[in-house]
Amino acid sequence: MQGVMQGFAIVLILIGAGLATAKFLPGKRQAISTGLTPLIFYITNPALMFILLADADLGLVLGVFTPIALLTAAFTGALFAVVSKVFLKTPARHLPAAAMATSYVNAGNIGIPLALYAVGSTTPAVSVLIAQLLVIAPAYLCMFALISRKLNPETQDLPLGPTILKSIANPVTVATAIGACFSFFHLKLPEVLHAPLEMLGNASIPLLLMAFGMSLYGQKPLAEKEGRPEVFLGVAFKVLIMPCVAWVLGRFVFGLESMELMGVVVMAALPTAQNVLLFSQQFSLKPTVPREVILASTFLSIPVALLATFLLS
Amino acid sequence: MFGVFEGFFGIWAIIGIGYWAAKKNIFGPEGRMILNRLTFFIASPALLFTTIAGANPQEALGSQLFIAGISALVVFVLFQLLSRWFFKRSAAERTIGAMAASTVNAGNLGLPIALYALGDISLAAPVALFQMAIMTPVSLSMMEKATSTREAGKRSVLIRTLSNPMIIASAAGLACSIFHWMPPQLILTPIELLAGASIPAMLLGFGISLVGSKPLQKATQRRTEVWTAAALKLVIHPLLAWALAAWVFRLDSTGQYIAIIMAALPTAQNIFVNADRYNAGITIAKDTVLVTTILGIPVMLAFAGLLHH
Repeated sequence: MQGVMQGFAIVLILIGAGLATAKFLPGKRQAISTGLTPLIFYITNPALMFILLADADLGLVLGVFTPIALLTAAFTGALFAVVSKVFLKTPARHLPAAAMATSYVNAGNIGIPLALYAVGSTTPAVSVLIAQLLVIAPAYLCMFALISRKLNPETQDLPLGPTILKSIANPVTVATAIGACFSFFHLKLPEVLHAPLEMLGNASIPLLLMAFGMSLYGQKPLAEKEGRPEVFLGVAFKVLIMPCVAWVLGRFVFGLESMELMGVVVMAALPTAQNVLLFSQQFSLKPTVPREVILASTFLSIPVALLATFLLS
Repeated sequence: MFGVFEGFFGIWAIIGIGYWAAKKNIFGPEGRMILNRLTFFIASPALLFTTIAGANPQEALGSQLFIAGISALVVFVLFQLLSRWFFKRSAAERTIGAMAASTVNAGNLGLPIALYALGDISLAAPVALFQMAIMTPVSLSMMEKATSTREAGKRSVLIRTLSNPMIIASAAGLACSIFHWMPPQLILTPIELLAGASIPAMLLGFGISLVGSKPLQKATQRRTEVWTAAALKLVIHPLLAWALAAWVFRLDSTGQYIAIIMAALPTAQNIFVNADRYNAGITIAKDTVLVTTILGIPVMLAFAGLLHH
């Protein structure tokens, strides 16, 4: 219990450091985020993903945690779609982006430090990453592409596979895939190469937490009037229903206990990934619901994750 | 011997990534400034604090501190005299050149070299401490005196020195080390995490600064001075440290090796930052940093070979 709270406090202190930087250097906030974000996205986070995956125990990841992550995301997204369709009469073409926003989490950024410091193992975060990158993202992007074809007939001729691949392929995904190959084939990088990569990867966690803190500063969640019912429903699914689904699945279907169960629930309580907004913009879908759910869940998920760890430990 | 190579390889790999990223314009126009500020205000103070707080005060204040101090001062004075007699430069440029010849890159090369080549990161603490506490304030006040005409400068130098985050962090670390006190784990872990970002960010920043820099241009008429400063830095400085370690302080071969490697480190990058700020000796500062950072590898390998390490 004490270890968990301490881990949480460490994460919060670093986020607070980012918030404080944004507050005390208001003129530099824009410059810092335009310098820091690409550094994390192109360099330090890919290094971190590679190191984590290369050292991961793939058996445990694929055997237990990845199936839970998959089922949790699928169930939450589907339930949202049904509720939204039946009660809010949301047009079907808006459903996939909104459903993805309720169930696609920011495991790579905020998930890894929480897993590492609060849960004590990166396995849950790595498992969610694999599930999302290999199955969930391609599935949603297929739907996105089909809708976008209906709306814009001129994109009809673009081949489906390469379009989706192009959306998913980014430095983090590529590094994750290479790291997974290393782990699968039991390959080891020579120490000379491993050491600088590890150094860069370790730099990622404080940087991304600070960048996360900076991004919170001055934001007003739920300010947008448009599509309010869907936004509120989506936020509720993301921050409340998804962790509950994960708990039920982890506890009763997979029989997990203590720290493992907590890891699964905390990962399900993570905020929505920025990628969802990016994907919906790439396929020219309406970005309102993803944008608002990302923003609101970013604020709400930390207290929810804290509450979940409190209840479970 | 392999440790030195490994240390330098990692360093150049990350510098190379920074160079490549800047070539691709990934960080935007202010990327280098942001990385430098991040290290200067946040990451490096964290690193200095954790390093010095965890070090044994006997070690940090022991004979290695005196070796680093005496050898650096001798080289500093030597370059000042050479510059005055042969190159006939202004007082400000003399001081920048002397700093370039005698100040080692304790932060982003000293710490990893200490870790990979010598096996203990705290071995870089004595030289870092000397440079932070004595060398930097003294030479900065010399720069202030050489470039300002007003008497009011003195107070501002003192205030600026005392409000330097790295000096504050070093002093706090030293206090922790002397009183055998460590902050609770809750506070220490975030500091350690931030400290971990320091070396990569500095190295990436250096890599960015290499884009478009052409060293040793004939038109600048500073080539001889750059080579003189580089020779003092990479050859005379370590030899002095060796002599002091072997004959004055009578250290064993490991102690001598540590003294040499820490003195043979390339010129510190913040010399360039200082030259830029005072608008004096920019060429000699930038070129000496670059030349010593490249030649530092073979020189250190040669010293390692000489001492059979």
